[in-house]
Amino acid sequence: MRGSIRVSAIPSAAAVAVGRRPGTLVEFLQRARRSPPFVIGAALFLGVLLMAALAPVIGVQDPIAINIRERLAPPSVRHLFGTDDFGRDVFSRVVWGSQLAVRLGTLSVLVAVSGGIVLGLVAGYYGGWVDQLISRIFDLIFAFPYLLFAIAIVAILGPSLDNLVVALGLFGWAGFGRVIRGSVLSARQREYVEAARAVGARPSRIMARHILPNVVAPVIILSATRFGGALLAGSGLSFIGLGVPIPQPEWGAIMATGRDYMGTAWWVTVFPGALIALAVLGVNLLGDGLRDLLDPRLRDA
Amino acid sequence: MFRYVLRRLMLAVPVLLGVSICVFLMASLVPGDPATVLAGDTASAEQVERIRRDLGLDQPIPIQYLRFLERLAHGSLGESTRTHREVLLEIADRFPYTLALALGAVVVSTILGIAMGIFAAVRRGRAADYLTMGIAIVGLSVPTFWIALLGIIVFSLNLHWLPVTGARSPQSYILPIFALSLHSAAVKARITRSSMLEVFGQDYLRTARAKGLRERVVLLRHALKNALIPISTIIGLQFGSLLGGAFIIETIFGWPGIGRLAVQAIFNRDFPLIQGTVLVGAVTYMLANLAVDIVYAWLDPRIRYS
Amino acid sequence: MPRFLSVVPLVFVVAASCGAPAPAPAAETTSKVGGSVTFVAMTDPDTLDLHQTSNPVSSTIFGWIYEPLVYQDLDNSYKGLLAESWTVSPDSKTITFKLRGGITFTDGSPFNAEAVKFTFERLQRLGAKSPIFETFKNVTSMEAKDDLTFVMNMKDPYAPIFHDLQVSYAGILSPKTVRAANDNISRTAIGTGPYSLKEFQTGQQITLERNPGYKWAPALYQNRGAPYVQELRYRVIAEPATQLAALDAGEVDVLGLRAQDLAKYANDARFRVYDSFTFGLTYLGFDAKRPPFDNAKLRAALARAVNKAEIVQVVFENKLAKAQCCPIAESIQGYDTRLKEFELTFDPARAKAELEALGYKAGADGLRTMPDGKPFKPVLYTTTSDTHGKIATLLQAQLKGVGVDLQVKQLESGALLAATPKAEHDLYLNGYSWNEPDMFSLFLSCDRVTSSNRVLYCNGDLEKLIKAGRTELDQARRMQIYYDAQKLTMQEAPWQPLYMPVSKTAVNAKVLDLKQGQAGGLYWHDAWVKK
Repeated sequence: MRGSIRVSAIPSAAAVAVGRRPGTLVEFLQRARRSPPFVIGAALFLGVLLMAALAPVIGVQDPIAINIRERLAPPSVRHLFGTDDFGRDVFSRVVWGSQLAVRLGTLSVLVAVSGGIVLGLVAGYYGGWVDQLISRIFDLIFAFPYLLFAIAIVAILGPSLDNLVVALGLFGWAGFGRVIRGSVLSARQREYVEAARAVGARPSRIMARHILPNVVAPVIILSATRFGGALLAGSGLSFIGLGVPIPQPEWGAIMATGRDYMGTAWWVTVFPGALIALAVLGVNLLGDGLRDLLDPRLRDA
Repeated sequence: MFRYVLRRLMLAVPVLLGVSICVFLMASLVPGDPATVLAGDTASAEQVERIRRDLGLDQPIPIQYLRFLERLAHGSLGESTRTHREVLLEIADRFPYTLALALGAVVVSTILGIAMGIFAAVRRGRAADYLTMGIAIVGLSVPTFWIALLGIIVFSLNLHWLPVTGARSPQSYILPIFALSLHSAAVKARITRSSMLEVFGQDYLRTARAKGLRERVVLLRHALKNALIPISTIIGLQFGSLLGGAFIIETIFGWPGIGRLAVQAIFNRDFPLIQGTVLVGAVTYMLANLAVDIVYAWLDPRIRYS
Repeated sequence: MPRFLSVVPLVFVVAASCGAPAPAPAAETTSKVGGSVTFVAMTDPDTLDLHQTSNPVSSTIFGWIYEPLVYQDLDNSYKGLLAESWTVSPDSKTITFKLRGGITFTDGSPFNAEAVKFTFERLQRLGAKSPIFETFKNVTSMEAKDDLTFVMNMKDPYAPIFHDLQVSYAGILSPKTVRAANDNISRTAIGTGPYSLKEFQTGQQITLERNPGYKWAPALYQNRGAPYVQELRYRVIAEPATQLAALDAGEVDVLGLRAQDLAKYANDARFRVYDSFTFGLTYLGFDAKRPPFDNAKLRAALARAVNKAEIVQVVFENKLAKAQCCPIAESIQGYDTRLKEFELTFDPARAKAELEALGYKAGADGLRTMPDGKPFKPVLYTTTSDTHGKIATLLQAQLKGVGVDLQVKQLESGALLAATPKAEHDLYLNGYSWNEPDMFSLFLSCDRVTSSNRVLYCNGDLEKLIKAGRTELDQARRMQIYYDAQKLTMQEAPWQPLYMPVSKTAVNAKVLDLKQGQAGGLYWHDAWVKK
């Protein structure tokens, strides 16, 4: 990140600050290739993205078409993952469900990050009573049981993927907010930032040019974890019937329908469950890899 | 230290107040009120109205909130609109069971997690390390309810080793606690490993080794202590998800805890009970975190509290 | 569909004759006494105060403890339980009950007319949550003429009075205990029934124990005295998979089975499976207040797209439900097979033709648009239950088959109860459970449009029939009225009746001598547990 002349004139280890993206993108990718967690994680995550993008091509059979005669058929050539209790092709449902999973994960993270960045930046930069107030808000969000909140949101707004996103994303404000606040606090104390303030640069400019770059790395890493968390939470809510409306093939919802047949038609729960696990595994590994690459000293909590 | 604790406790009050206000806001936005739910499917409009009047629900929301605060000042959380019993009683009946699960999960996940973490850290780079961390990360990724149902099918239905439901015998605690611990055991394993590895490279450890202490002692004392700080944070957060995560486990295992009570309260629009359970959950979380912070200070004297 | 047996305690005590209760033969019975039977409760019973709840779990439990004045016999007629006999005045507005003597509550106080009056007055005072609250609004005064004579005066004649008096919510309380508890009887239950409350472990289990002083069982049973089974237990288990696991592990003895479990338990020697009809019907409703569903022709056309046989086959394996033609289910009085000719049977071709004729033309994608050109996407509201979810999925496919893109919204009960009176919905999928033809008053009458009439249907002619049926005490005339009411309803199609749930209950083989009634209901008073 190129600083202004004033910044580079100040000698300190600030240029290699904790969390700054090292070097160029090419250099980064070269190092990344040698990190097993990053590679495996990226492969899994890209796999899911690809599945979502190519759903119309791979998920040939209609995911919501009912075919009573072929109910609860075990995996076969025609139905790779078998069929559920309405004769719907589980493979196709899982493939189309990846679109919902990607959407759920991405949007929740976006909501969480945007709220978290704003709150965290403001709290960390201004300090004082603003920080106190916002930190109390974080405490409030953490102390509030998220499941009850999610149920209430779904009860108020109705069952839909986007409402789930709201419920899960809002909760993430506190998670991201705290981490960002921490990064902002440490960045703020760096000399070049003090210098910039002394010279009278506008807060927004300081935030944008000096502090935000330090924040990027922890945000990326946390996003990976929260993506996984959103998927798990979403499937948990589907389990209690508060997820997406019928007949959307969200992975958790597919598992919920197969819950009654776990002994006899295991394929209805195992395959979507395996995919949830793989997707979450992928983003977790990706997060690990990124953390090792971007800053080995960063501890996440 | 004492002043620190006092300050934390005082800061907790506005947060709890904020929580209770949020619950009231939610209450006013959620469609349906306790009267319709209590009246049931076959009731007439008059019955609903009568119930609403008897419960004092025809008052505007801010008035109801003030009455809640008034009752709170007298030490009461109000009455459940469904059972007419004191909310505190309803909660007291069930809270110990959830607490037992939570404490059990904390203990099991900490022991398991730390053990796995140490094991992997010591054998860093070798197959055992990858295997252990592989297990950990899979444990992080699998949905809890799936593991729980699987556990019932395997251990109760097929092997008949463990009871299926309820909280009657000591064995009945095993499955729910394990199901609840898996996720955080995995998190703690990873944290332990990374914290320990971080310390392995640092100077003071080399100094300690140079002094001739046995490797094992070096490991346990210094590296582990380093790991305990972030682990304490996790434990604090674990209590925060007490109500939420517990609900799913409690439903599957027929466990008589407050997780289920809280969700049922939402479905019944039983606002005093919702308010009570949320506050109890919030208080538990905050006390747990305060305890964790005190442990921090004990573990790492470098941390100062003004 | 309720998993536990709501039928069990309601029907268990079947009274019959007059005369003093006969003493049971001693030697036979002592060896049978003992043991326990464990049932499943899907949710926590909220309270045992029978006036302050409509929760079926609670009513099942207090149904063992409290007894009502009358019961319904196998042939659907009403006989006296705590009452011995009664007479109805010529204007049908006054009923004089002659109560049975020699009955005591478990707290030692005597059962008498004063207790009956006390109970019903308390219901009028505190019973806003009770399903029979409205019944007693029609009661203007009550009198305890003497210890064993109780008189009830009503404002209007009310034919369903005996149905309402036999539900467990109409059980009789002991004034002594209620006064001593200061009206707070949510965990205290003292009645005249065969069982008393032993222990109430919140959230876990409710235990009832045998009332050894019980001597007034109906003549239907061989055992006229106290029941044999020493303890009844209700375990609170919400999750179906866990319930099943508990049954299998022997922690629970009685459980209603689901379709997917039937195959496993049909041949399991550890259990005996009993079939019984339920007194209820699940239907697909159309919000008659919301255009375009205020048009009866549209309702009828859509009704013909519904394939009931497929629903019964896929969701219930053809075993746990029976397709129904008419608004009154075949297990309930008032059902008439002659009405089958008015059923809107499954006929997709006809449905398509009728929709076309009404102006709902199919577009290029096969989906229909409304006459004004807007897309036709009706929304179905239903509960979050698995069963309703499955039915909704099938309905979606069936309606798609005639070109209608049905949307489904599953709401939890609080939200659903609040949404329906506001006419937010287009279609409604739910059921009723009411063993009386006067269910019309609750679910299809004009004055319930803001409450229990969730299809908001209001028709003047039907209203007249409903009122007539409610006040007509002559049985033959009454059945004719309900024939006309059903015929009108089937032609107007605010409902498309779907099925009557059938219960298949697995009972641990250790329970012997369990009796079954005509509709299959289980009668427990002669049952005992093999040691």
